[in-house]
Amino acid sequence: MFTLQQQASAVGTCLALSGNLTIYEVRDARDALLGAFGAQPSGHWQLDLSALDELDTAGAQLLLAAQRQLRLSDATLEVCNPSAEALELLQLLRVQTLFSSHAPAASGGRHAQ
Amino acid sequence: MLNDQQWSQLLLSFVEEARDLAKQAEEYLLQLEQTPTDEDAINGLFRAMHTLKGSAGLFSLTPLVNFTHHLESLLMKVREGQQALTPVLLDLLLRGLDEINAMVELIDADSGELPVDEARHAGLIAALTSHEVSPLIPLTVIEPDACKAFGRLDKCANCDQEAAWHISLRLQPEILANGFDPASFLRYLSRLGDILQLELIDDALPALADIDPESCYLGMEIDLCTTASKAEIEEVFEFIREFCTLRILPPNAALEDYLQLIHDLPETDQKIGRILVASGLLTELELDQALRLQAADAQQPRPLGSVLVEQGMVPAQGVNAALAKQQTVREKRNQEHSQIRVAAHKLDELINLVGELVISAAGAQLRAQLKGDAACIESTQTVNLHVEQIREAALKLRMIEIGDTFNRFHRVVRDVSQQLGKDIRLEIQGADTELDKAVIDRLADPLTHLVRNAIDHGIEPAEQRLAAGKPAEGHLRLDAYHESGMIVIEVADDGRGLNTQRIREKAIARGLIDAQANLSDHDVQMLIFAAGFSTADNVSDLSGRGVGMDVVRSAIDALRGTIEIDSRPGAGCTFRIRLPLTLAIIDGFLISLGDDYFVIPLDMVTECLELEADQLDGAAYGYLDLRGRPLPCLSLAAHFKLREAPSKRRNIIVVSHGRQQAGLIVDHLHGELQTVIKPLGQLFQHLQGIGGSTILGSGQVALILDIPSLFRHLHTHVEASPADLRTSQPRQIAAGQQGETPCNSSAT
Repeated sequence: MFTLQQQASAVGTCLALSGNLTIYEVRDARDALLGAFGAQPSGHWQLDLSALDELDTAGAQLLLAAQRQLRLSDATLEVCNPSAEALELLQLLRVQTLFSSHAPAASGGRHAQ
Repeated sequence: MLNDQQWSQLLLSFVEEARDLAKQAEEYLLQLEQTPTDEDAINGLFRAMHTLKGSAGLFSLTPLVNFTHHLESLLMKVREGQQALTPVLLDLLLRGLDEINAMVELIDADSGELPVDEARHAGLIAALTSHEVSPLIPLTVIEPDACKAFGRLDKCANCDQEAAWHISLRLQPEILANGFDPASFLRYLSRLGDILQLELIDDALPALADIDPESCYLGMEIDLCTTASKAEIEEVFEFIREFCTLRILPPNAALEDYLQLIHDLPETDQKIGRILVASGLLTELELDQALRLQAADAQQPRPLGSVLVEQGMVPAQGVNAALAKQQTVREKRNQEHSQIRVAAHKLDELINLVGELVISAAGAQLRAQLKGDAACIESTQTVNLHVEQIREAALKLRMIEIGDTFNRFHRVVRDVSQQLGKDIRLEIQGADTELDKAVIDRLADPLTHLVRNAIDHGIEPAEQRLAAGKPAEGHLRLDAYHESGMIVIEVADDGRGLNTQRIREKAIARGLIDAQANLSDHDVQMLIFAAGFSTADNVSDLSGRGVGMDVVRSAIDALRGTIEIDSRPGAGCTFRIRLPLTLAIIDGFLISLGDDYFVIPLDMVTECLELEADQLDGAAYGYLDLRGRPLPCLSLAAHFKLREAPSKRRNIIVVSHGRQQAGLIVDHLHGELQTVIKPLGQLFQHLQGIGGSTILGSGQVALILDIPSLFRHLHTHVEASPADLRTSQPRQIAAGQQGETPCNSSAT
């Protein structure tokens, strides 16, 4: 079960993800995210993962793709308050770019060497 | 007809020949480069190609035949002046030669196959036929590209390890949909060691709008610090093997160890992949995969080494080390297989010299012993030890396998049986038995006689065989094996066997035996070796002219051998030839009677026993009890009418020949002696019981006993003359009572 709640935040837009984000939910989640972003997303986006129960590689990949999507229109994305489960995976995969809104766009998604 | 081993031996000698020819051809070509009109060189070149083509044809090496054929026709044009020998053409020819060399090296001696890529080959031949220089693609030269892909390794910060394993993982899109979460394998991997670095490769990841979220677009570059082996690391990813591309490279420090490991591997002739797997640098799975990749690229097969490096499975240094290893093993093997042809007379000279050396070394040892100088004795003993080794090595040079001689009979059997309308199968056993070349050469004729006789007289026509309840196909067997220092050669057929009645009648008719003579079957059979004897009523082309068996007998005698007949009526006949292994030098056992020295071939000596002086009571022949069995005995002194030593103690030497045993009574035992056989002079050729002479270290002459002839003599005296038997029988005393243990051979 995956749900997405959108709310405005101090620095931009916050999307609160809750439930699971795994291979079973990624298709729905993608549509939900695309819907939230709209045609021309702009500004700073925050993903609140505090209520995320489960995250797998497919989910992490989706988050990366979301970041990429935002970058296309010069928007930025930041992961906030990841739950323990989410944090474990993101650290395992060392996708630090997701944690930092200030990652330079030119890094192409790779962490700095 | 030829077995695989013989075939590959022939093939190996062809490879040798081909290399020589190619080398010759190259020399001619280089000569032509200097003087393009040199006719001798052109002719020589043409001949070399022609010979190569012919020989290659014999081994059905079609690609080589085709290729040399085109070179040959090109050279033909040059020879006939239709084609100028331009530098361009010379270049083409030289490259053609390289190609031949490459092909020759590709010949698999075991399977006799020459794996060549047909398509490329056609291209090369086209270049030759059109005389246009087109770039020849070099045949599989194993030269791995430098490793560019994953050379970078990071130093482990957390432990003492100098560097970490580098794991490169590329995931297939389906992996997620198949229910695998790559992250779980990472977690599992971290149990093997510390993941120092992990770089997520998401270059292929599309933006959210374009993504199929259930497909995987990721890859990973992982540095892992672990003590696990490559195979263990590979095992982590076992379940997602189909859904990923996995490359595992060892740390630089470990790489050194692996290279050392490759270097230290036992020297077996392995393929490069096997060497790498054995060292642990490559896993079985990777090898399979690389081989498939290699096979898939059929148009331009590449060496496995370069596939491995290109695929990043093994670092270039690893492949190089394995190649070096393979090279040394191959070179070693080539050395083992390479042969030198030496003129036979040179070998004979060597053997003669070794013979003289044996005698003079024995002389030196004797002098040293007389002088009693311990150091001198010791060094002469060392010299003698080496002389013995030289002797054995020198004699081995002359040893060749009897198989070649046996194989000639395939043709003889085929021709003769066709001529006679019989269906005969030849079976060859013991073809690898080695025998002195001189013996083998002189054996060919007697064997031919025996084989022809067996086919002509022994094996019946098919109707008779069927009537006798035997298979229609006759069976002829040639066999060679070693038996107590002799070589035994058997010619056996499953024919009707010798007809003793008929032989007897013929022998009486020819006056060979008296009509009243009471001969055993065996003795009657031996009559076929008498000169001028033939039982055949009609003289055929093949046999029956009475020339043959006596020639066989004398040829065998000349080789110091014996022949025996084992014939069962209706079941077949076996001729068994026993020959000494060599004619030049033997291991002898030195004995003496009074002041006279004799040598018994050591291989025939079974044991030595002590004997009381009066056991035979001066009789020349008799029986002794050897552990409850009668042992026919012969007193050498009485036999040769020599004076015995006055000593009470005498010795018995138990000798065996074939399946018989006998005791020789002698005065003294002197132990082993390397005996160089010198033939007896013409005058003494017919001396019974003496087979030759030798010279002792002291310069004294010792006679070599001809044991088979002594056996025959003993046989006639002990069994055929009961008078002698009677005189000795009451006196028989168990030899065992005096001490059964065989004497030390150095007892004197």
